[in-house]
Amino acid sequence: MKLQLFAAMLAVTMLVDGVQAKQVKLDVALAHPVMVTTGSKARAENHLRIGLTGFELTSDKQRKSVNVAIVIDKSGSMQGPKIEQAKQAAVQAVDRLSDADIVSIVVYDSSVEVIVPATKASDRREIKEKIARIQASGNTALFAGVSKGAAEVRKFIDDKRVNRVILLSDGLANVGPASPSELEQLGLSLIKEGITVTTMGLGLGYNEDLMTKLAMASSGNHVFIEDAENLARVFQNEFDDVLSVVAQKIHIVAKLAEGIRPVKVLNNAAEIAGQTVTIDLGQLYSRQERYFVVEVEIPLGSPGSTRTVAEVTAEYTNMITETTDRLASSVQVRFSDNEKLAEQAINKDILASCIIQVANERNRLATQLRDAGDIEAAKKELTDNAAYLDSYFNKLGVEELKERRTRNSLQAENLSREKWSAGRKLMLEQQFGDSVQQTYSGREPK
Amino acid sequence: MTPSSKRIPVENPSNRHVNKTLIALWTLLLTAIAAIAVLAVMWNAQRQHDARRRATSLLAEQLQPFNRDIARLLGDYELQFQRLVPQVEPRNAAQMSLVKRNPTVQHIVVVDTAGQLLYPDSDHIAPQDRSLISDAQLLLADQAFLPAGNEQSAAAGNRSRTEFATNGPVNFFQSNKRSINSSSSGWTTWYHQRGIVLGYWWRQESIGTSMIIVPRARWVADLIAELPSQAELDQAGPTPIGFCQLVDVEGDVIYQWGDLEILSKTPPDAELPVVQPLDGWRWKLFASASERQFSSYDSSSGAIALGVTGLSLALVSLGLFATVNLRRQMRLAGQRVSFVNQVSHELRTPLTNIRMYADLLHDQLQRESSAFDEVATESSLIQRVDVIRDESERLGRLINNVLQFAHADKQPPLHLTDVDINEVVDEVLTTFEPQLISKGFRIERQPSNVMIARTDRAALKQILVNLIGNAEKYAADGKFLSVSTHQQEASIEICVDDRGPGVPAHLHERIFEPFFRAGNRLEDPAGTGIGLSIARQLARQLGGDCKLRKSTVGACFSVCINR
Repeated sequence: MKLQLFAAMLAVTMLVDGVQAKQVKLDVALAHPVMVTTGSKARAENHLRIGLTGFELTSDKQRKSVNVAIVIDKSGSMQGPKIEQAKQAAVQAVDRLSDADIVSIVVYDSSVEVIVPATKASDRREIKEKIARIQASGNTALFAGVSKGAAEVRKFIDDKRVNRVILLSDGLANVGPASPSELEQLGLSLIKEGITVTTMGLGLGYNEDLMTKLAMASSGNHVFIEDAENLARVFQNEFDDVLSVVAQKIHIVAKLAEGIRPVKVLNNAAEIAGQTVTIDLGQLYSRQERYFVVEVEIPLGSPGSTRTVAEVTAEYTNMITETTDRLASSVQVRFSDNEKLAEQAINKDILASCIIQVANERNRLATQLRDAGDIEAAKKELTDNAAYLDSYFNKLGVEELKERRTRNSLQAENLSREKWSAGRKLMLEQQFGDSVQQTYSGREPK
Repeated sequence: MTPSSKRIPVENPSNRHVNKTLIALWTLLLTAIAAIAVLAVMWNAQRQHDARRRATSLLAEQLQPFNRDIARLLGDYELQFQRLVPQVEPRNAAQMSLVKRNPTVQHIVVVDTAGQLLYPDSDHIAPQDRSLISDAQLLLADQAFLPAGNEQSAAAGNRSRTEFATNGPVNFFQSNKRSINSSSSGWTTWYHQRGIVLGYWWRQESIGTSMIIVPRARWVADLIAELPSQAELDQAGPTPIGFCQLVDVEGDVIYQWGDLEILSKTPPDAELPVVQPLDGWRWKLFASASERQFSSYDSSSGAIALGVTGLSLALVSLGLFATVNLRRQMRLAGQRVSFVNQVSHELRTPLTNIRMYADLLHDQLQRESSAFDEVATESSLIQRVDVIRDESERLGRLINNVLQFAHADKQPPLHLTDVDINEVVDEVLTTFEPQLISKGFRIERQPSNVMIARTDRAALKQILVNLIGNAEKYAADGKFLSVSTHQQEASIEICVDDRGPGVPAHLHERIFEPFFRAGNRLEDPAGTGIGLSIARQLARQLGGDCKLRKSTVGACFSVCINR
């Protein structure tokens, strides 16, 4: 244990120095670092926050080459301005690539066409010409499109590259496997190889469950693009991310001390086996703050005592140094009978981010209620959630809380039958964005 | 009556027979043509069926490479998993989670030699995975999968099997337990929540049996990646085989490629089952038009059609030739009959005059002979005049018969009156008396009561004339003629008996046929052969019949007429 502590200190030292090679920052903290022992309870709930911050890429030259498959739905529903905007967005995206990057273009309707098999992006003119020839018609073989896109990426798969499939669809998958769980399973398998899938839902016709689950499972981004005019910007944002990956294949293991029960990891997939919580993350972008909140139950100690809650290690592939780096950190909790002391010990930003995740879970519950047809219960959940966020905003003064509060209130307005189609897509996109701290969204510019 | 005033009908009874013959001929011809056509169509259908089957199997052959793709993919997985086998340590959680980081591993399930779950720890299975892992455990706990020679395991196996029965959805593709027993690893599939689950299992004596469950979405995606995409097809050449589909057990399309325009038609041209372990999955091929033509092209179809048409044409020409010929012959025959009719008709007028003048002459001679009493001279003159009278009478009967026969097909209306039958019989007998007596006939007239019948006098008279004339001609050797009348309940029978040579039994009916004559020798008495035929026809017209009765001596004709 001493050794791990030493390693954590070493990591911190290295970051502070800034002289050594750049490293991802691992930050482990508790929402309530001081727990109040007054009262009759023997155990109390707390939130463990495991945060990662990507270091800054100072120049574009530093970045590693990318290996991207752009998978475009060209089914009949894409006809008209949608397919034109999509083609334009793809062309602009290809323009941002450099000669060392690898790109493939896959289009699908009832069947799949690999119009540009995985190739170096050196002949961008030819690639763009092929994009220009795309015409929309037919059904939506979404699963096959993703399969072929992933297969193209796999041809040049490399840990030192950013391996990504970007899927654009405006419709329901109706040829081949089409359930959200099947796409989720595919995403889970692809991320194990280091292939990330970003999903872009265009218009109101796509299946947001399928698209969010696929992106979530594979550590990709997800956006809801209501207006095709935003496509070009969204593609730019996506490529900002793709071109700024600083770490990949991040494997986080949190070992909780004896007696402390890990309840769940909020809004993210994780494996909990005994005292060990394992979380996998596809990648971290430059300057991205990515965190996971683990709900824990801690047995209360005697006032004044401290105990270690968790020891966390993170392993990742550093995209600059091309090495596998390892970080370690641990966190302790103090027990006190002084409530004021406990209040003072709170780190506002850390608590706020935990509150955001708790509110996000409640927001998901509201979606489930609305899906079951109970509009009133969903509305109550959302207004309660807004009030919950508001109370913490008043207490902590963190702007993000205020924004989430407004968001919940607005979502409560969108539950009616006529607004729900768009409302649900927006809701799922925002839940997704909060869960993975996505850097951009389908609407407002960054 | 002048010849021009009465049109003699060309129509005659034989025309109907000809029409019937023609209808029969054509029916026969058309039946033959139809039979040939049906046979040809059936034969052609059979050949086309064969050709299609041949084409289908040829097309199905083209799907075989895709089965090889699947086999290769499973082979690749198997190699990967075999490398993983030594790393599997069910009691080392960290090691196991490392194994699970393999993209083609969804779950890894390990049971010990007693069929108990070793991994994953049953307390730490996510709720959504529970039923799948439990299925896998039950499957592996089956005796067939466990290391052999373990009594305990056999018991566990039995127990598990009963659980299977209640559990339901698990079915092996390796139903052959011996093949499982004899190998130490292999693929297995079962159904779970509507989807096929693909598992690779292996046995280790020291541990038990393990299984890796490949995520369905993953192996489907890998399979799709192996199969052609549109662009590859376009590059492959100008003639892709058409449109191909991979469908699962439910018939849902998993993946498809090729020329989509062909799909509109159903059903597929060829199907092929997907290789094990994907039982129930199928490849479907919708061949392109050129491909289908190529594999089922058959030139002899046209030749058959040509042959059948030719043969039919030949038969129809034959029929037409026969029809035209027959019609021409008919016309000629008709013209001849009409000619005879006209001549007969023309003969009647002079004959009537001859008879009238012979009668006048006879009467005059008789008056003069009584006045001058020159008996010898006069009587020989009277005799000569009588011969003229008799012969013209005979000629008149002949002409009557000819005309009656010519009109047979359109029967003239009957003039029914109350007729004293005996009076008519006596009248006819009186007419024939001179000739009969001159030929040496003894005439026996059996008298009876007065018999009145409502009938046509002329017709009855003609019947009797014909029958008595017949006896006069043919039974002169018997020198006997008897005519008797008998009254019955609803009819009257007239019998004409002779003691001539009679009629052999086998000709009893045929003698009533027109133109039939029992003997055709030159020395036979002259006759037209229509007398009896007319007698029967008229008798029938009068509601009776004319028959030849069985008799020991001579011939006995019997005429019945309605009263």
